[in-house]
Amino acid sequence: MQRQRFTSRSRKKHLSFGYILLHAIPIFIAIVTIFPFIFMGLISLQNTYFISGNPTRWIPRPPTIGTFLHVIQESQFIRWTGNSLLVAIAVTILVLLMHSMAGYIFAKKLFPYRDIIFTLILAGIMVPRAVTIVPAFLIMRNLGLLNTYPGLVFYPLAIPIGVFLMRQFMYSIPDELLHAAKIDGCSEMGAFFRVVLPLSKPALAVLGIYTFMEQWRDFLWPLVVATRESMKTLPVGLSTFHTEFRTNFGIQMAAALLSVLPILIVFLFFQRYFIKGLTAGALKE
Amino acid sequence: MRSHKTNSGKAREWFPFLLPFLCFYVVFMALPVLWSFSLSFQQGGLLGGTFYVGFQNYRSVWDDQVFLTALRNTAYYTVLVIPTIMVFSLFLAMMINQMHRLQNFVKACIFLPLLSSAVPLAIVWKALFTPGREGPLNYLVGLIGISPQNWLANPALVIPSIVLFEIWRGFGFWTLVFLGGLDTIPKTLYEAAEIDGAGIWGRFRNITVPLLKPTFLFLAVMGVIWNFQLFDAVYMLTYGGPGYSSYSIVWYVYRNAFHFEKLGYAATMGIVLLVLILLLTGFQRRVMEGK
Repeated sequence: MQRQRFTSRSRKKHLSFGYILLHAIPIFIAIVTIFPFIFMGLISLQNTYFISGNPTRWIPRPPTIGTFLHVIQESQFIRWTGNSLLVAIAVTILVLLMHSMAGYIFAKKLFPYRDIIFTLILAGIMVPRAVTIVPAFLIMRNLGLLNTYPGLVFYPLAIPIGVFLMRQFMYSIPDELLHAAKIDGCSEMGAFFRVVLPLSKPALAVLGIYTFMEQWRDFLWPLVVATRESMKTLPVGLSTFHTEFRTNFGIQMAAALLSVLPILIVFLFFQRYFIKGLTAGALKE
Repeated sequence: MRSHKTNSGKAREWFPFLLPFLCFYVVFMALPVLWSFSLSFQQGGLLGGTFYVGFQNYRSVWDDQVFLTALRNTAYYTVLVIPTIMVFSLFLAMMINQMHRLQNFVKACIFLPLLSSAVPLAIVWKALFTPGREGPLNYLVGLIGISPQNWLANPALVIPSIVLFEIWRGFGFWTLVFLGGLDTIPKTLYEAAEIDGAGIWGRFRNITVPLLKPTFLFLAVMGVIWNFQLFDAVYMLTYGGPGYSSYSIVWYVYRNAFHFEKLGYAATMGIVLLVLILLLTGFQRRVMEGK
């Protein structure tokens, strides 16, 4: 594909008007897109109650990191970041394990009503959170899991996208390999962990990033289930912190920047995987 | 691909594989859907408990002006977002696909908003939306001679403002999905068409659009499912205001369940939302697959 793109390029004249426009428009859009981030970065370096519309006046003089210190000292910011990381990592590991096991069964085993059961499970993708969130809250309350890590982690495990993705991928694993593993004396469990999972690494990577990001960005469920200050995730904590310091733009932007920073750094190193992972839901059929 | 041999083995051995996921699915998906359905025939709240009232919630929901406003707002919002973001992202993806330099730079930039929850992004945009002459967005529109607007407090502008925010937040995803779709179209098709004398428009209409049909269908269906659940931006930017001007369905469900002590009523609206989504996406599928 890459090669074909090169050959078709060499036929064109290089610096035509169209060629420049073709590059200028996306680059312009890209710069406009990151503009709010630049704004955030510049304002976060000043302790200010006013912002100016004129970008030349956004340059902090002199810059201060006092705003960042304020965020960390005046709120449980570190704790919220830890909570978010812990929950996102726990959900990711559990989804990778449980959803790949379930996906494997739906891909490779025959049992009565299999396709009907799978379709029913898949329908869960269409169900809005607004429908399940109230009963799920009541269930958590009855189980005594409000304001706990299991309360935060369990609910997203039921969203069946991972099962769907893993089933799609595991279709393509040849049955002969599984038979061979059996003949070599592997149990079901052994065949799954020694043959199926290692072969599924690409799909697992994609699903892992997808799940982690969905969880890292989730707002509604943590908002409902974690109301105690020490149990909040980063988005929820930040939303309450924001209402307390509404008037100081510098502190607000510092908090926003601090909450984006960890994932931004990871992204800069693993850009390609992120793009694949986040569009994973679109890999249909 | 669908032909698999019976590799079933003994169900006793492999059923435990299915069990963990199935447990969570039953407890936090299947049960809540059924429970919501049952709650929709009840009234009462989180504190006092609930009791059955028959179809009363379903009757009152259509007389509730706030619900109708929320429904209208959500529909208006969705109708603004989906066509705009679809056309914009498709053309951007087609351009990025043809770029020879800086392709990865552009991809990384449009990906940035996807890294974060709506909360910090909304905090930034709330500052950008600052009313008066000193608001950054007002400064920008001032450059082309538009007078300063009160973006989030003007009932006529609040939904378009949320649309602007959500398009900024989401178009990167749509563009990357389109790029994935464009990647699957063999370049030789375009070359053959070019030799046959097809122009840019002809190639777009006869190759790109038909071959991207699965991508269109996916985005149209998922776009409805996602956008009908508008919540985060409302919570962060407007809290439903001014008045009820930016109430969305999920926002009103949330308010009823967790602020107004009306669990049953919230569940009823959730069920109405679910039915609406099923009808709409079913209709979309029929239209787009029928073509």
